[in-house]
Amino acid sequence: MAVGETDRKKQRQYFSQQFQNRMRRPRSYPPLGASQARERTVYKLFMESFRDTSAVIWKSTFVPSEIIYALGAVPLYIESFSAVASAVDICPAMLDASEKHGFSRDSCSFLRGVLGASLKGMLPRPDALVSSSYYCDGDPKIFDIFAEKYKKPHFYLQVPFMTDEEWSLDIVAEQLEEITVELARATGRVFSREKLSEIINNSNEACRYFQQAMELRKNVPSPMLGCEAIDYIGSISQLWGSRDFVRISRHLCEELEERVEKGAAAVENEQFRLLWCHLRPYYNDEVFHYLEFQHRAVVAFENINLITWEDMDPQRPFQSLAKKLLTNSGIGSYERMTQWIASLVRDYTIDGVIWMAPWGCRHFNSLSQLVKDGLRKEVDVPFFILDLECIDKRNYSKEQVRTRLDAFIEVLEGRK
Amino acid sequence: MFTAGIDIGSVSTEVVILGEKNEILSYTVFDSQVDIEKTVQEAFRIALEKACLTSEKIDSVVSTGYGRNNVPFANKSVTEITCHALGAQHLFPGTKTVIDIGGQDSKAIALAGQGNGRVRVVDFIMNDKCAAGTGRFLEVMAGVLNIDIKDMGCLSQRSNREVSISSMCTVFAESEVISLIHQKLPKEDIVSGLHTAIARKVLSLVQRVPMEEEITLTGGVMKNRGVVEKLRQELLPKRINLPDEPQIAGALGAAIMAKRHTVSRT
Repeated sequence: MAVGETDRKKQRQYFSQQFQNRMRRPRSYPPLGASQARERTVYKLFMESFRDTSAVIWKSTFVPSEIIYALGAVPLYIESFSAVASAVDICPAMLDASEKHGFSRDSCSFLRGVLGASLKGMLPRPDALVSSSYYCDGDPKIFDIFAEKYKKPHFYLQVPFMTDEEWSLDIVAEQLEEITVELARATGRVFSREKLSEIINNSNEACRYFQQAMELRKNVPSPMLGCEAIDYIGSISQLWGSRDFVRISRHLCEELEERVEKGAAAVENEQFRLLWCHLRPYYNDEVFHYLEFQHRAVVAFENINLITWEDMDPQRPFQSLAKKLLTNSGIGSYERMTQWIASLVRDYTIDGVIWMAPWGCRHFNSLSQLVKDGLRKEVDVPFFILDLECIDKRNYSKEQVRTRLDAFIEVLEGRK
Repeated sequence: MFTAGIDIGSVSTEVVILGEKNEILSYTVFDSQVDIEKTVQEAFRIALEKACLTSEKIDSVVSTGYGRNNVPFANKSVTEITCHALGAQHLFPGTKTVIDIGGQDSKAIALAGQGNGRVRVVDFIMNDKCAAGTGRFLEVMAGVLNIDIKDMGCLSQRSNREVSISSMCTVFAESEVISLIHQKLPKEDIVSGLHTAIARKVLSLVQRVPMEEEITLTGGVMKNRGVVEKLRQELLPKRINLPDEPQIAGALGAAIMAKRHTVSRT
């Protein structure tokens, strides 16, 4: 699709306006400085992606952004566009557009949203696209549609199911190297190993701060709202390797340290500590607010903010990135996910697990009952599967959700 | 000490008045109207009359169901999940699992003993996205078949050859039933097929919580003996309890909760 400079200017202006509205929204809690910096950084990244001079690479969830930063290109985690659009309430028109194009309302709303945005000419044009087979198999399929539409190359990263096998590591590392070289060719950028090593060092540094911040959330009472913390994952998927994320993580760490030292609680008179699995509804904050402010049940941790990888070796960047990718708890067998959930329940003194089952996510929903049954053998903790939609507010029924949350809180009260 | 439980559902509103020894003094079942408060006031007044009590004699009121937050004189509101569990356990103390089919939702509740003679809910699951297989579904089908919903249970017992109803979307099932009527198939066979479809639909959901040996069935749909029979067949060899009045289990649980609430206040 040919997008002229006038179109890009319009796109930038439109997005800028939406972001300003978002930043001015009334909040029921004072956000941390790090969280505000994170929002501004994502905004900056989006604005950068609309610039004519930028090389923009669309990536799916688990594609490491480090290889894109190493090329001096802008990584755009394209599904996060749907989340942002849902938060500023411009998503319904995008979803309508994708449905008119023949996409079922029962399919993934993140992908439907992006497709609709593309159809409406709202997205920054890509110079290349990279998707991976895990976690979401819908990504490569829809990326193929985009590749054809924008006439740009689409590179596909095959992630083996057998994550612990040595050959899996080699296969992923080889592909990552090959894809990086191809991306350099497609975008006209120069690939340098030194630059990638530097980027890897950034990721290591940010990771150490971020892990430390997440450690601080083990504190009782919790120093941070789940409503605020859960938004980190959408951003950090595209910020790993950047200096911005080092600063944000350090800032977050410092702020949480201070709050813990002062004994500041995110939720006054904390009654319950919850583990939240999967993402969140982006169209409003009602569910988290209801839990955290009405029921005083703080979301102490979210499985998606879990860092499972260790320091990477900058001298062996592709092997290290492959290892980082393969240690993700979402990849591989359900037993692996179950073990991770069990350890989070213990580490964060969790009273109950809410497993959000998003409409249209075949992958996560297929895990729900397996993890629930598996967890029963590991820890004695109530586990509730909550059917909820992330993006499409037309699928959200406030009273239905509240009844289920009330009932789950009653289950937790019954154990006291 | 007298307490009351009020269950305001999408189809019906029930009130139970409980006496000193947790005995049911009276109950009422009303159709839920648009004006919830008016329905509740009327149902409560009749229940009090039947129990020969005045509202001043009631120590505590707990409301439950979808309209639970719209009862101005309730001392507390509790979800229908907890209330159905308490009601079922009160009627059948060995209950470990409850299957409830109401006007627009179906649910399964797993219970465990607390060691003090009381039980607590340990797990539950509810229908989501779709209300097919609930009371409203049966109402629509009774309308299409031009029969009284109360006669569906009896009618299905006369079936010799059950018809398969493949769709469980209410609207699609309605068209399917219309098509079966046009084929001149006996109504009793169609109704029997509908009951099987409901039982399977509900079981596909509720089997996601542990199904223990003793199961109690609650909710208005359990007044339909055809649905109950199909559930019994599907759940064999488990022991199935059916209350004399399954529709009031939620209100009964709310009245028991009201008693606990009063005791904890004193």
